Amino acid sequence: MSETQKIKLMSSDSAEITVDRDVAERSVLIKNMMEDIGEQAMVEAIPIPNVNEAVLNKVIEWCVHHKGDPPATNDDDADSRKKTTDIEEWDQKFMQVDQEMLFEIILAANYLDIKALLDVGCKTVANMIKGKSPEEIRKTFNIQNDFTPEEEDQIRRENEWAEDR
Amino acid sequence: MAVTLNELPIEVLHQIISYIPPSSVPTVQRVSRKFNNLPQPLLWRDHCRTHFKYWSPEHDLQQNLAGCVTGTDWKTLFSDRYSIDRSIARDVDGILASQRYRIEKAERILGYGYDAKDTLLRHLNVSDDAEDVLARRFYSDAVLGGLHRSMAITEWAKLQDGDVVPLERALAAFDMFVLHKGDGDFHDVATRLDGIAHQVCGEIPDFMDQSPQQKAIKLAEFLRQHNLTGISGNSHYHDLQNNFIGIALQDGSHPSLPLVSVAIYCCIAQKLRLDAQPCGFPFHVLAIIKPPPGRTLDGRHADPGLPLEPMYMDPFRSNQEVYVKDLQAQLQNLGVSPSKFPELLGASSTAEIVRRSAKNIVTSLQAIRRAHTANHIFPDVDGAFYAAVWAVLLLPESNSLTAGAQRANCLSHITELVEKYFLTDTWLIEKYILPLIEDRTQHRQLRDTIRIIRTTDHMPKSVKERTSGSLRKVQYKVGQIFHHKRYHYKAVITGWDVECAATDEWMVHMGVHELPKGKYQSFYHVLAEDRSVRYVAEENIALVHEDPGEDLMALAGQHFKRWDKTDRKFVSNIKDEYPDD
Repeated sequence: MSETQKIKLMSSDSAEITVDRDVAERSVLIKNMMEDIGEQAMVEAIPIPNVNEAVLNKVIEWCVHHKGDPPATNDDDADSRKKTTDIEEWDQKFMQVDQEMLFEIILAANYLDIKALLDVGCKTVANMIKGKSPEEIRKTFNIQNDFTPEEEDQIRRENEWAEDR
Repeated sequence: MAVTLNELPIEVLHQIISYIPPSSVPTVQRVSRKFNNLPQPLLWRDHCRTHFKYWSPEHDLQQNLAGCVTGTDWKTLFSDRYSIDRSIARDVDGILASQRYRIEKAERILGYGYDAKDTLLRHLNVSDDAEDVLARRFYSDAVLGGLHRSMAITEWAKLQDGDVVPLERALAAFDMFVLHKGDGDFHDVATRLDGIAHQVCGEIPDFMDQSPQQKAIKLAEFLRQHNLTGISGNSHYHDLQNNFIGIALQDGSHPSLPLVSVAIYCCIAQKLRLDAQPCGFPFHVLAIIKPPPGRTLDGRHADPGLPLEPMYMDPFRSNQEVYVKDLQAQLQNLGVSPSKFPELLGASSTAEIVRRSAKNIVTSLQAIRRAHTANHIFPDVDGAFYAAVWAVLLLPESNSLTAGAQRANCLSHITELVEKYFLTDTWLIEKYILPLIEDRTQHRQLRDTIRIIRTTDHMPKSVKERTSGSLRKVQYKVGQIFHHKRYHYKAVITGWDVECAATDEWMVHMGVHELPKGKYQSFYHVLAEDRSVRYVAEENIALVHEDPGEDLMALAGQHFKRWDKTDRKFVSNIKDEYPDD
């Protein structure tokens, strides 16, 4: 078996990180870049201008763990699309970070186009929102209530169907 | 600067909100203006599609899903379905909570039509460890059955009014009576037939360019090659399941009687632009294929002076054309007068085919009864028979001498079955049968029966407490299972009397006076494994110390919540009647 190919990534804060090529290619963005620039990528570090070293290391940690995962299916069948917010145990632990890091990971996953990681991040946030009142959500995520009282009333009326009666 | 939730890209926020349960989405909307604008039609369309599988036809769901997303108010559609779901769940809980107003609650659920199915299925599939698992499964199944039957009967009533009903729907109506939670409803049958028609075109190149005659033969070849018609394997001719088009299409070996084989053949042929219809030949239904206007069956221009000859196929047992002279010879051998030939060799109406299918079901049931074999492959024998009598009642033979007697016979079967098993169908009798009855005595009797059913539904049960005197005398409790000492069946106790409360006539007939303890001993209302309801003297009861079988578990839900393994008895759901048991 041939030795695993290594490539280098350059974070936004100019840190060089060496990583197995197949791990880095969990990112569709990197995979496409590799195809575009070819052999050049083996020599020079690929710049990842939107992601800093700490976050990039975290993302790579995730990619290493999920290296062997089967590729995501693009199934459009209604049953398989049923949204569950179940997250496997390792990912749950992985996502136990402060809010800032969580959002940074989500942004990085979005930018690098790592669908499965983006899913896990979004599910994590959804689980933080679920079961909370609007006020609790605002408090948790530091969001300003920018509604006028009239608007609040109207929204409540529009959504009476979902209230427990 | 630190990123906050608010600053995530809008597509990421859309993804996050897609993981929020739909009933919590409004809460999230109340967080801020940005969040209020997040839920888009696409989100609600996804929720409609993933949360609910079955929709009443008036929603045109398949069509709307295929259309532009903004063409439908998906949020309102979802919130309406959600409200219906909750209202049904409340009524299901109500049905379980009290023996009163059960029919009324069931009718309210049935008013939602096929929109009710998802909710009922959810309750039917409740987990084994639910506190009232048996009752919940039993009553959801009962209401779901009522829903399926009402849809079937609606189709037959259309036929009765002379409306056009596709053959596949008219026959799949029988399946609806025995469907329960399985697949094979109208939509499944139509989809399967479409799929096969598609497959024919895919596997037989230039099929559509062939002459009608060639098409007719190649289609029969295809269906027989794929085992989609006829009976093979372990199935016997009179097996009940061979009567059902939905079962035939779903089952791996697709067994079907000639009538059903021909129906499958004709339905697919019609989709492939072949004018094929069932022909009600005596003892063996055939398919008759007529040439298209102005053409002959072999695809030439027809000579305007000559009559256009049809052809016949027997997809149940052959790939070959059946020649009309052979059929005429068979009729002659049967002693049929030639004046009847055109009728017997012509296309049958859909109503005739439904009626014939109903008769086939009754014949199969008689064969089963004669063979004394419990038909374990086909669980719902009562449902099959019930379907057959409804079909014959709604679609009687025209100008038959015995029509009146046949109707009275069907009517008595239907009322008996409704009172025993299908109380939720009371409204179907009111809607579809009462208007048919011209005879005034019959009409009054039927109205009285309905009135009694409805009054009983409204009345509180008389409470039978174990006051000190009766407590001593009544040895066994509601929920215990026993073997009958003399007749050896297994049953569960559903009620009791301190002494025999039956009529003198019954006591004489059953020989109660010959029992060692006579009528002055406790008597028990019991539900036996074979679904029969009986009345048993205490001295004939021997409690059994084993778990009930599957049959009894399924039936027990009518009166009980669950099986208690430690106490070895069913947990009562009729405390309003027997508070101390």
